[in-house]
Amino acid sequence: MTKVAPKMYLSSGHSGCAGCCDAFAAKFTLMGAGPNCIVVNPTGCLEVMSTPFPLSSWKVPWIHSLFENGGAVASGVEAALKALGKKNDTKVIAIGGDGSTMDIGIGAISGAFERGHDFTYICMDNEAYMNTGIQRSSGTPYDASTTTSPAGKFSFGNPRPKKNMPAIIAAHGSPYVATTSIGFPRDMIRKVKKAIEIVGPTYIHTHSPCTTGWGFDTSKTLEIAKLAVETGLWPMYDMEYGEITQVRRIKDPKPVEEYLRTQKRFKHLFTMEGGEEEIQKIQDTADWNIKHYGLK
Amino acid sequence: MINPAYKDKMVVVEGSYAVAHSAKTCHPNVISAYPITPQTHIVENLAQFIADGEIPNCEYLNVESEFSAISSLIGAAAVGARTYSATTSQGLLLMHEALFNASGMRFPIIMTIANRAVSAPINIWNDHQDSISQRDTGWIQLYVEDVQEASDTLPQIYKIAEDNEIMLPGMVCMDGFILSHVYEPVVLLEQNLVDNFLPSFHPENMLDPEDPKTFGAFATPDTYEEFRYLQEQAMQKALPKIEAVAKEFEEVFGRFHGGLVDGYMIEDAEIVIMSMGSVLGTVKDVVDQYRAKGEKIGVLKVRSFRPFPKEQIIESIQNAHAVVVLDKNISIGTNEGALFSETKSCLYNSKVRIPLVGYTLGHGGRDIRIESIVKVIEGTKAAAKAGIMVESQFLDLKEELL
Amino acid sequence: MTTEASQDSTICPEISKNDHETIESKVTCCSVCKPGSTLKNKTGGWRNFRPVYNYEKCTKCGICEIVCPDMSVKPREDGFFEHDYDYCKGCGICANECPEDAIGMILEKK
Repeated sequence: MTKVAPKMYLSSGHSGCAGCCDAFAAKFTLMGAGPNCIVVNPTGCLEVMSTPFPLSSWKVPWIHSLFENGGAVASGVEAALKALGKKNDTKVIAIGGDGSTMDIGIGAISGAFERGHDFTYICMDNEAYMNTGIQRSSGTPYDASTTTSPAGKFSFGNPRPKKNMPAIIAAHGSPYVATTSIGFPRDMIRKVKKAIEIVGPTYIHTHSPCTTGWGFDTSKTLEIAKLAVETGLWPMYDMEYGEITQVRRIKDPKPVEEYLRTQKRFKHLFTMEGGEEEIQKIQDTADWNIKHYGLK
Repeated sequence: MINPAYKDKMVVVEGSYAVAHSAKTCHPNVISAYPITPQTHIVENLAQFIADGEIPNCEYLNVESEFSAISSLIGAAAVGARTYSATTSQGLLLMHEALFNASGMRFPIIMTIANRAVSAPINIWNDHQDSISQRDTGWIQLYVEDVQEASDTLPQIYKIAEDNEIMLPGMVCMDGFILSHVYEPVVLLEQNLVDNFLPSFHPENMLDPEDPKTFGAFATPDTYEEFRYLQEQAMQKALPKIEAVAKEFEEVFGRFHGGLVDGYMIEDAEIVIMSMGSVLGTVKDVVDQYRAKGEKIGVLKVRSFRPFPKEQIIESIQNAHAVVVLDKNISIGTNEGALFSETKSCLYNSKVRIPLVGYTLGHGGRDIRIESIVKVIEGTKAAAKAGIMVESQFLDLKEELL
Repeated sequence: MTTEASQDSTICPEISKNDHETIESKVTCCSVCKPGSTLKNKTGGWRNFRPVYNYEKCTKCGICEIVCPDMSVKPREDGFFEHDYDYCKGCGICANECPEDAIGMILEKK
């Protein structure tokens, strides 16, 4: 049997941690997008680990400007391609972490989606500021311990649930918003392919477990990503013009405890008094997702 | 000075219109716009040109902030687009972080700044605090005296900034309201002449899937310093380029507004008044009055603040008996304006030993009256004779309000 | 069977794993980097555990290639895969994800 090897447009030799989630997000994005794209990458682990001057892991044209301007830089790239008559089939992709997407860069992203640029924004959500050492972001889930939302005698960790970024983007009238996970490469590659082919601003939010920030063995990155989906904590869906058109069903949802136990950031829930009630609250979130998104 | 032959070409338009028209003739590919007084009329006029199909191959972006205005131009310039925006005051301050970025990545983005005071207290009138506080961002800064110069300097600064040896962003700083909202007779730039004067933009490096380069990599201490050095070198290369381009412009258009600096009645001047921007018009009127009385007063207009033309300044003022510098800005904590501080500093290691005094004035749009300029000149004459009494001070401070 | 190297040659012909001299290390005005040039960084030295194939169990499904975050699993002419130890950081994901248990992790001798 002759197989065509998948083309890799991200090169070896990047300095991401062993088992790095961002490397997966970038790799799968480029496997879906192919070589005819321009990538805008706001500041974060991926940017730092892949472009130590004078070297670069990127085999597609790539630009990093600042932390909070990914949406705006991508807007300018797209506008310039159009103005110069170079747009043709060239796709514009921005890929940033949860910090640059959901916190500091949300204004520029909102502007880009409202203006309707023909581009795809990919959020690699590893649920905290990992590049600076695991600080809480608006993507950090309820009760996760981070360096700025640590668990302690009077705290179970992060006191707030995750911001629902895909819903915010969908509210802009985006033709295609999807959630995916690096634990499901084929799903992610399919969604990237679909997103870039749609004319207009499209969005993919990919759940990306971070070995260093979440505290798990380097070999478990994808396993834990899958667990998040299998427990219902990370629903995977396609949304077109704000309507859910497809979900990944989970026949027999696993208890969230199975997912939480794998990670140091939730360890306190199993040792602290009152932890059981907290785990139940997280289970309630998963149950709500399963019902709300019709995952079963 | 305007050649009389051009008089029949002059039309009376608002300053903002003349600037927008000039930007149009430079054929930008991407314009980003965000409203802020007193710059807004420039981007409104450009929007109308776009709506009327008058700017070919151009995308106009209504961005959601000045921060995104400059950021989108960074992306556009990286693809090889000629880019333009205009802003002022708080808008320029909001851009601050990205200004460093645009310069560090060597994108020749061009903006017009309609200079305005910064908050607090909030104030929409003219001074230079906004652009002066961006002086270390690595942008070329040219300050203009009147509407014609604001308009004529745009194609010049594109030509300077886009030079392969320079590749730095630039701002043309014009006084908000005083120039942006004034109706003056001007020659609107002729498209065919601009086409002759300004070559199209072809940067060496671009984002292109056919040749996939990486822009904006991470630099360690091993290489970071060299990037800064190269930026500084590019600024130094801009010095002769600014002079040369001003002369080329004169050859094509017949108008010259000065290169790095421009002297007025300066050859034999005993007292020299230095400044930037529209206040020079008032100053020149006062100087004319003094000259009529036979007093040797002259003016040095500083057109290029970045790069800072040390040599040209020293050469221009070396024979004066005393020099006074008027700054529409202040570096709080030094009690000095920026042009004064920098002029003083460039004299220190030179052989020129003349008294230099400074006034910081016109803050938040306070009117600069002829009587005040007279007071300044009289004070400087006293300094020339008896030495400096007060090195730098606020002009026209209302003591009764304090 | 197409190898990665031959595909890459069309995109960035000047960079290959053993051709580092062409990487311009001089600081130039726009700080551009050449595509794929991190091949110069041999990250294999980070490895504590070494993935090793048991080709008798391997079904050539190719999952290992997809699930390598370091692009260090390479297809061979015969349809099997091999690790490029110059870059493999030893994360163990390929071994963890292999449906046939055909990859073992052994301690690196240093």
